[in-house]
Amino acid sequence: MHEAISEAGEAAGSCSLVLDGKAGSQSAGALLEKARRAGAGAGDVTIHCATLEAVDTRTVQILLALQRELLASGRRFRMVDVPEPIGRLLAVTGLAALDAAQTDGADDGAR
Amino acid sequence: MAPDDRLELLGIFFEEAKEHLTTMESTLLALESNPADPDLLNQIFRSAHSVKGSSGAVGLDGVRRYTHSLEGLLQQLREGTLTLTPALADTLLRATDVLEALLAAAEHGAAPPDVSDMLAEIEVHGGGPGPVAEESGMGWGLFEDDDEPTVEPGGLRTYDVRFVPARDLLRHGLDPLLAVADLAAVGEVLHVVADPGALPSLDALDPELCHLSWTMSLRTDKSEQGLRDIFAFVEDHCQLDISVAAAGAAAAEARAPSLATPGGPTRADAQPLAPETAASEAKGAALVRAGASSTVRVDTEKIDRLINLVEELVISHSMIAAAADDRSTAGERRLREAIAAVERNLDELQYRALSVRMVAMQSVFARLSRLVRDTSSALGKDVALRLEGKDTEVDKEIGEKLADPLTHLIRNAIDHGIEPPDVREAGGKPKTGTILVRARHQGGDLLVEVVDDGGGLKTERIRDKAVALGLIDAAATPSNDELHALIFAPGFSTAQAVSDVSGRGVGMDVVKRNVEALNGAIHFESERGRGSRFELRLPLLSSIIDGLVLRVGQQMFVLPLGPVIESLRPSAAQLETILGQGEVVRIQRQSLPLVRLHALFGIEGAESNPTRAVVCVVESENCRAGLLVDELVAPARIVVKPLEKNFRRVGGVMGGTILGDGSVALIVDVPALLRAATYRGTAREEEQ
Repeated sequence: MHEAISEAGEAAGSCSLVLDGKAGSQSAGALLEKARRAGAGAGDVTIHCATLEAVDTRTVQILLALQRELLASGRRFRMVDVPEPIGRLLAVTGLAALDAAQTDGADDGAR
Repeated sequence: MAPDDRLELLGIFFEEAKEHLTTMESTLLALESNPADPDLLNQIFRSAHSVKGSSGAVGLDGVRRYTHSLEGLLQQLREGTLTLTPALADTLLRATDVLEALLAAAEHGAAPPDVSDMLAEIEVHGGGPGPVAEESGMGWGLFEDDDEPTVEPGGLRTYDVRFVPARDLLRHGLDPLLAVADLAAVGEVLHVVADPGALPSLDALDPELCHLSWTMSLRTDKSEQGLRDIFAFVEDHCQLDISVAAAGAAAAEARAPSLATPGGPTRADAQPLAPETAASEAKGAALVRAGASSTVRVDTEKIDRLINLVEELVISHSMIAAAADDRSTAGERRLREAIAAVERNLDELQYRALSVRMVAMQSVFARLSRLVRDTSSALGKDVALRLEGKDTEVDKEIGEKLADPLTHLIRNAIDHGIEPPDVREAGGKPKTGTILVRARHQGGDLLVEVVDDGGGLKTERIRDKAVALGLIDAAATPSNDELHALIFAPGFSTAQAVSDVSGRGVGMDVVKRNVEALNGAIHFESERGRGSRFELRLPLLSSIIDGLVLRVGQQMFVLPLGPVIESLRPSAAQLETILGQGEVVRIQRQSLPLVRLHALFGIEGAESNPTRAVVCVVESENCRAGLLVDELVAPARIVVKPLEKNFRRVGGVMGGTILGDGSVALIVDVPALLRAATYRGTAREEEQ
């Protein structure tokens, strides 16, 4: 059984999380805990999704809440290597912003 | 869509919507008596659903949303979660009235009426889905979309879907994200927004509770029910609104940004359309006013018969052409036969072409049940309405103008005629009074009778009122018929109290004036204690009237037969000039103003000596006069042609017609002529 959420490591204050397998009710508690920790930190957050097979509403809500808090504090939220089926699901359910290559709270052009 | 096509579509929509409203009202009334009849309820629901669907299709989104709310209430009745009570029946009837007002406002380009109270009432009864009420603050958006209707090539429709999962949906093992994904899979997603507005902070977030909601525009060939089926598993745990959107709006949405922005809910163009509403309403109003025209639905059988007649005329023409070259006796005979056939065909063609305007009296009767229900309820009387001759056909214009006189007659019958239940019972009558409205054709006319089994006219009271109004002398001894005729006098009412129903002295005079304006006549009889019977005789077609062809000098006139009382050649003893009245002719102890048509129309060479001419006595609006003409030529049924298209309006003339010999005759406008004669008499009187 896949561990659906793990921390890939932290570098220079940034945080990386890995979403793996089927992210749903089983993994939501752990994801929320890690998301709270990441949100409380000071760096950007990257979600690695290369091996993600499925997401549910719980997972999406946690990611949206995390994204919102990061943006509010001027930090970056990124989901990378999103498999095409997951990207399509997010697109048709109005959640494509999660899957944008990069979202952040500052103007990209200023960086 | 081209403006002309749009106008045509709107015209059809309004026509159909009126039919649906009529059906809804009459069926609601029937449902009151048979609340357990599911067919009646289904009929009402279908009508409401049709109005909702087609109003969305023509861009009347305000009407669509209102009807959607009403439909919600009806749906609960169908499902049995609501029971039809008298209060609910009242609400439904008034909700239908409001829908009618909404449609009328849209049709005439007026501002939409405030429907918030009605919506609130619908919600109190348990109907009316949330979004309608929520959106009511943004105005009703009549014509807020000047875009294409919803049905696109290939049967595609664009739906607006709003999906708000219940907070505990996830705990039921159901995932709303999958339902949204399933919905997206059945069509083309033009726009979708996930609204995280209710999402708490990470610290407060309980991932087992659902905080998201969705709105989506979807183009698909699925039906609304097909879309609802996708949500079958979650429908008990969510708020789901699905409505048809205009295709043009859908296209606009497709062009708009379709992705949620991460910071919050979604998109700028998801906001209400209020700023554009006023301008687009005005545009819609202008569109409707510019294209204002009446339409009538025609049975295809009538059209087929017209086509057959034209084909027969073509054949007759060929026969005439062939016979014209044949100089033999047989050829002459065939020519005469062919000409006779053409005449027959033309006569029938004329009748059938004109009858295309005919509608069934059902359209006139439709509102009477509601009228009787509301009026009798307001007056605390029990009244049953019987309608006979619903299929009798009448000219559409006459049918429409007949509604007012019938309304007045029925109100008067309930108010003045039908007695209160206790009085009826004491008099040995059934507690419930009956009003019969019967329509039929008779001798080329439409005959409409209004019969009640009430107390009949109160002759003494009429007499007292007439004396009080100075209409008759206190010492006069008029007959009952003469007294009864006074009920048509302007301002005459015997009602003892002014009410919403009657008592203001308007009503019966309006009835008579309206009927006469249609070239009709009204007669009545009344028997004390037994009731009254009013008979309205009207032409079947507004453009065909029975008249009397007259000659004045070399000019031919037609006098509509309705107002004609009699004609005579007066003796010298009958003619005199009375101070204040001018020239009069004495007939049966009455002095009638003598109107010389040749003088009125400036015709030279006419007979000026009344004893060598003819006086036609005519009556209109309670005035009588004698029209002086040279000769009565013949009675005739004529087709009225308006003059205004080619000439300026001529006073005292209502139109023209072409007589059998090809000459043109002017049709006398009797009411206008008598008003002018009365005015001149009054003016002369004042000059004395």
